[in-house]
Amino acid sequence: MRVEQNWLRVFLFTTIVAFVCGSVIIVFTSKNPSLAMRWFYLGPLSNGYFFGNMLSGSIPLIFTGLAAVIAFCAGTFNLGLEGQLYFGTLWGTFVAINLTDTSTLLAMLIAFSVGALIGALCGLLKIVLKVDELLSSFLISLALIHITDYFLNNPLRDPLAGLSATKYVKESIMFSKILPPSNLHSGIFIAVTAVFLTYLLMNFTTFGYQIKVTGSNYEFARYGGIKVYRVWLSALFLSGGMAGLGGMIDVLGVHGRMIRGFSFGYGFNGIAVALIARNNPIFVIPAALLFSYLEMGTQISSIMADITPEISKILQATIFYLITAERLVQFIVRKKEKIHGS
Amino acid sequence: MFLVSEMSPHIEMREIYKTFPISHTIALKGANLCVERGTIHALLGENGAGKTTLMKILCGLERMDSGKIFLKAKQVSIRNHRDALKYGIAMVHQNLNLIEDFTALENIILQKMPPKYLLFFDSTKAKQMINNVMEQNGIFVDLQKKAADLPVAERQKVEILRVLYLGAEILIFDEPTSYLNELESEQFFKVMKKLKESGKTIIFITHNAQDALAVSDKITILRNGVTVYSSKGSRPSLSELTLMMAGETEIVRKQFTGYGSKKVLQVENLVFKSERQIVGPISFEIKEGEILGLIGFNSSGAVELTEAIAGMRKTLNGKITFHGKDITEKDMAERRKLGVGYIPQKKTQVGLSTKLPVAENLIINKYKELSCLGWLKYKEIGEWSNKLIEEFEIKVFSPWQPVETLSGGNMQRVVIAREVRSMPRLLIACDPTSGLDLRSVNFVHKKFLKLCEEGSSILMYSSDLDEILKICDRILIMSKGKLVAQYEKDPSLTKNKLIEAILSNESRAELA
Ligand SMILES: Nc1ncnc2c1ncn2[C@@H]1O[C@H](COP(=O)(O)OP(=O)(O)OP(=O)(O)O)[C@@H](O)[C@H]1O
Ligand SMILES: [Mg+2]
Repeated sequence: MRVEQNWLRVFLFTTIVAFVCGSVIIVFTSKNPSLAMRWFYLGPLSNGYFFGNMLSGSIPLIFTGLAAVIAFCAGTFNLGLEGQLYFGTLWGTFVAINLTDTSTLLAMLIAFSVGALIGALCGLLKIVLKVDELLSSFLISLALIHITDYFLNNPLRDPLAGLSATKYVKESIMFSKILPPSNLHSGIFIAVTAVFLTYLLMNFTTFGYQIKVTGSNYEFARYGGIKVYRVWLSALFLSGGMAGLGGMIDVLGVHGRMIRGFSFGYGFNGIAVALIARNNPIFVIPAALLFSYLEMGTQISSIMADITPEISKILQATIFYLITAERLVQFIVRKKEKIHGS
Repeated sequence: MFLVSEMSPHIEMREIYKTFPISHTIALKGANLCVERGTIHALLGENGAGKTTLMKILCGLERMDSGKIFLKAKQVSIRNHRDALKYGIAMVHQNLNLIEDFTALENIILQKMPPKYLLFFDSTKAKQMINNVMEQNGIFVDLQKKAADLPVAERQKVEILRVLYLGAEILIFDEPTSYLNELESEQFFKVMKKLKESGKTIIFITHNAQDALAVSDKITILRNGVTVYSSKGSRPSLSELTLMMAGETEIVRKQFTGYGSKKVLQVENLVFKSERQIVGPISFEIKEGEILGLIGFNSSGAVELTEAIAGMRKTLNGKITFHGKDITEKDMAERRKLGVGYIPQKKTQVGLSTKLPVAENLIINKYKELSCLGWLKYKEIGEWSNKLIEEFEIKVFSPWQPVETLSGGNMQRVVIAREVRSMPRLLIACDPTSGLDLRSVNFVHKKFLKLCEEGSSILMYSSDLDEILKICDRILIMSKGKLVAQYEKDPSLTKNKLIEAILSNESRAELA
């Protein structure tokens, strides 16, 4: 109970600071700050279209956030979410386009498996060759992004498309839209289910217990007879799979085809989401919404006012730093708590 | 003027109160402490009496709710660790926490590095400064060795040098002897005296009244968060002290009952690598219902032997047979399944996950039984935990409170409760009672004896020779990676005999 209360305070604090930073940046860069600020803050909530887009933008973040949570809980650092998402989605899309007998489920399964295998590969490298998964996952991910780009530029490129993208998948396997004309699609239910399942997995199952114990002290896990290697491997497997799934659902819900650079840093933002959520799967939802909200806010205000999309990047970076300085935030919250004598 | 400042206490803590909001425990209810300059002051008390908490407050690691602290008769407020250091107060903790991969030197200077060109760190200067500190206080360690390679006694010295290097004038030791053996304790007391000679003030937390009497100038006793005694002129007797700590002094002693002839564990020519040496070949066996004691210095490989048998350490050669099954290649999980329990020496690093709740620490060897098709049965986990908490008198507010909020002794009880209660056929115990007060020690010994009556066997390493003499049936002595002597239990066996046996096999030079 206490943890939750405390989390809420830290979350609110983070949000407020993000907004203050955003306002300062807007005041300095915009010729008409009040207009820009109105679109920035209220834009995402002002109509169904923007609101739906904000929600749909949070879906892949929820998956990458969950992916990061699972890896972090087991004490492994999966920094390769971006590559896992990208590469998994590529093959999921490939199957969706080229197999006559495809289904939504099959595409998702392929994307999940490919992402999961890459995650597991990093786990294997860690276990067999003692390569730190932090480095291996990051480097493998970098390489995979370039490989994916190659495929999108050449063999899989739709010659009719004006940009590096594959052909469109069949309309029939796409998720149905919920709030047209916005992008919001029924994939959001899968995201919420995934959150719920991860929550159950982490808190109520023996596997979740093994993950928690291994992540908090792997010497203790080994001592207690938990097969630490197996836990690491399966956590990275699941983590990579979640990332791949997130990208695939975005393609099947929003884009309809795989476009080069369709992920606006979902992977890295997923890590930030997990950090804000303090590794609690439930909190991933508000954290992902916050990120998506900021992204939407800048997009809208760049259309409606004179704010450049770079602002969004600056803002996200600011939040990233803020969370890294989480201790500071915690400290301030605690201090207040003491003064108020709670 | 000089006289006054000499007479007035160096530190005075008055009416200290402290409540922990998370667990709603009142750890201190008006504790007083008065320490004079240049003395060794013992702070005595049972587990959970509030000793560590009181000292953490003095070091700025915890904040008190109310109370006053005077330093040289001036009231001071100590808000954090840095404030305390400014006044020259520093603490050597109950669980030595050095960074294993760093050398002794790096561990010492970690907190304050002498800079070079404002950016780089000046290792020659650092070495020089530490050499000075070592000279001044007469404490020496090998600065180039990695912390992982140092025996516990040396690690402790590193920790002492670290706080001296930071400029500590008042040193607080939290149960320093709990992880040292008899001879190392003697050495440590000498170190303490040296520190005192070089003008430092020392506060020494312990639950051992004997130690307190042996080395300290003054004694303060805490019970349930209040000061119940602080020594004035005459020195109290041992029995008076233990009475004031509220410990019963009933002695548990194992009667020779004639254990079964069935072999529980057989170790044949076991060879394995420890951080310092190759240990082995070692052969011995344990019979059903037997308590086998294992003693030796930290360099002897005795602790590592227990780890190898428990399955935490890879073996190079030899064979371990448990109830007729070859378990040499089996991992920890399989050994546990066969009925091996293990109380490790490093209780907090290996035996617990301190961030997790007590309940989750209590079920690590049982969680599969407490689950159904992969789902944890929380109700049963709670019931099981409450049962253990009650039976082993673990002081907690709730089974879901993190282990890190327990007192040192209670953390240890969590480990003991879990391992004893799993009814192992062989319990491997490493310093099982090192952080416990007299009453709890007796309690644990009774539990051990009961296990044996039910046909289990125990392999116990202990740095406390009294404990070994009290409850072991047979004693093995290790030195430099080899078994060197064996004693059957008989009434004529004394502590001195054991110490001699250890020493005659260990070159005395190594001790100095
Ligand atoms: N961080 C904490 N949060 C909540 N309760 C705590 C915390 N630290 C200590 N306590 C409680 O305060 C009481 C006193 O603890 P303390 O560690 O001072 O005991 P101690 O005298 O050092 O005992 P021991 O000999 O077992 O180490 C205990 O009941 C303990 O559970
Ligand atoms: Mg303590």
